[in-house]
Amino acid sequence: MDDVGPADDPPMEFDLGSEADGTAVVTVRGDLDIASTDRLHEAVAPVIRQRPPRLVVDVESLRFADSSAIALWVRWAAAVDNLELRGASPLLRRLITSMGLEHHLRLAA
Amino acid sequence: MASLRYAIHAYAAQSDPPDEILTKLSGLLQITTSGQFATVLCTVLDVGAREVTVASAGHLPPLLLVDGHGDYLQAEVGPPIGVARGVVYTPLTVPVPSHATLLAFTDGLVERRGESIDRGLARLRDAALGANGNLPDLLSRLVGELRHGHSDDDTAIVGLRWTM
Repeated sequence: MDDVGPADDPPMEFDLGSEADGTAVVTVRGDLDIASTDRLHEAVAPVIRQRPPRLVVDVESLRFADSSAIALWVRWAAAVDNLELRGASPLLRRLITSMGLEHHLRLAA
Repeated sequence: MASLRYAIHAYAAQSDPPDEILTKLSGLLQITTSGQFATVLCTVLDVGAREVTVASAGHLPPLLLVDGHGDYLQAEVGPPIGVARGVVYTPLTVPVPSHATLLAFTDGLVERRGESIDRGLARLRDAALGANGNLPDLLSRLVGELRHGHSDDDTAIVGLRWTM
């Protein structure tokens, strides 16, 4: 066996970008869970320290997020004035609602 | 998180209702400094009045099993502890009939990748209703059945059974 994990378990990947109005954009793909949240936070922390007017977290291509992913976004939302979660799936929206966080994470289409 | 447990014990010892316990807890942890939050389900049993009162800080609802029926006690879910200070939580009080069983659990018991949390909750209810026997056997069986091959999260389950 040379597999390092289940075959259907893609690694988490992300891109950092920005829009013309200064909005910072974090695009996350794959599975974001306890195994990968630290790596993502380390990359995004410098962006947050620059206090962007808005932080968009694009999760449209995210396959799975657990409660540690949601904790990470809530942490970011507390650190910037304006955080928007873009492209959340129905499963992810339901998870956020089940945790009473629908008023703390702004969901956008 | 141990400090939250001790705080809950202290507030409960002075007879604070569950929603007020959660409000007080919400001042003890800040995600901005700790980097984490905690979901908490706080339940108070009034043995004499045969009532249970629950309040939820981001936690999945407990399951009440009575006479072959299973109902989740859906108190309004407020944010987890650590998200904001001074949050007001809304308690739910329900009567407890004879021989009822109350199950509280963490998300590891019902959560599976690529599936709605509602399916996991339905699976737990079906499994609980399909099981007979004493309470320790029920808990062992639920953990064994529901966690099989899906063991990537910690799981805790607590069961209470009224014997009269």
